[in-house]
Amino acid sequence: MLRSSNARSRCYPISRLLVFIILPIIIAGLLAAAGCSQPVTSDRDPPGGQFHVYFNNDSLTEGHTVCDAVFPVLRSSPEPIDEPSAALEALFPGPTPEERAQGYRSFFSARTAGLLKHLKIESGTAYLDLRDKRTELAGITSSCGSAEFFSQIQHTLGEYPEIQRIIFAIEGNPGVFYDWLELECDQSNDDCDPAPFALPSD
Amino acid sequence: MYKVKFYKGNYSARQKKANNDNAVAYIEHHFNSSSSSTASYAVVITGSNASRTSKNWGRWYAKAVARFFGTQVSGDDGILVGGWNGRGDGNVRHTNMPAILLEPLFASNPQHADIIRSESGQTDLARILAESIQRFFPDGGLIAFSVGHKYKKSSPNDRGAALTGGGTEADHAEKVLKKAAAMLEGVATISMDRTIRVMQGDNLLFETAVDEDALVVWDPDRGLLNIPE
Repeated sequence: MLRSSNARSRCYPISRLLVFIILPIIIAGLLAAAGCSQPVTSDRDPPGGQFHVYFNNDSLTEGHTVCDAVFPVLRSSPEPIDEPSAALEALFPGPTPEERAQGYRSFFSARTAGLLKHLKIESGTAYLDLRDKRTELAGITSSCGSAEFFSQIQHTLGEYPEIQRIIFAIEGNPGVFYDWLELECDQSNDDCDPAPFALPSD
Repeated sequence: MYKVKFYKGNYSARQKKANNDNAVAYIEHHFNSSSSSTASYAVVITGSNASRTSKNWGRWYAKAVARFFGTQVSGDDGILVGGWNGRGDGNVRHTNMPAILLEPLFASNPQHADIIRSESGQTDLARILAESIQRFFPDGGLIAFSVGHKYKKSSPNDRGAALTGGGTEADHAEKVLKKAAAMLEGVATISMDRTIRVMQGDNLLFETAVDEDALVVWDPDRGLLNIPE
């Protein structure tokens, strides 16, 4: 794994999400604009953490559409990355234009950048609560589309050994998610029990 | 010979009603989708508890669609038993009769989307489905149709994937099923003979019965379909 445990910088006023999706050279520019003295240039490794997110890429499968075949792309952050939620925040905006030009593809795009509502990990289970973007992600309700969706998330979170399984919800309701994806509530998703998705303020 | 009934409500309720009505076959129509605009194959999902009839029927349909539209089949020779990691299994697993979930074309593929939107494409898909039903259920009976995504009480606004260029998966699946229903309900008798047909679009130009064992050979260079005497 390429995740780093570098010490956290206190000089990054832009949002964490933006930090994850821009290139190191752009990060350097933003840091300079924000008045940070720490130099970041494109010809050296960025300080902080590196991690992978996963997308499909037909050019890596001999031109064939293999719905659940996903491949890693590197994301860098000046902050140490040890939170799976950070990886999801980097996954959900989808491939960069440069990556799309290289054949990486996903239903995730700028329209789904805010998809992550909350992630809680408890006893090996990741409770992944999504915002309601069913319109933007309508294509994932097919057999191939769902394979792409699940594979990208499972591989991205698969880099975190504390996660053994994932249960999904939309706006705190797993029943809505699994009904939308035409999956049944059963033991594999704890019968769509909404209790673990309750936020502390609920 | 055939009566067709469209079932609505949540998927489990649809299947339960079809069971109660003693339907002889159950079909749920979807279209596939991918983030790739070039994805191009036909696949049929059967329940994890599918009978041999369901599997053979699904493979026959998927291969017929792939041959007609010049695509491929995916899965296990055209079928995904139990769906992809369980997806789609619950849509057909609760039936007492043979059941298949169709994904003949990709809504995300611009060429496929044009076919799906066109009257002729819908008719072609409907004809393949109707012929598959006549082949596997030649004694007739009640045929249960279910439009994927649409008419669910749990999410009444669900229409499935967007068709590239406009339209929705569910609305066009419904159009195909309505055409197939009209074809099936117009069937008076089913010939048990092996037949050879020549069609131009919707028009049947030629039809003849041939011996079951006859080796029929198409010679594209001569433009000749040779049927041994």
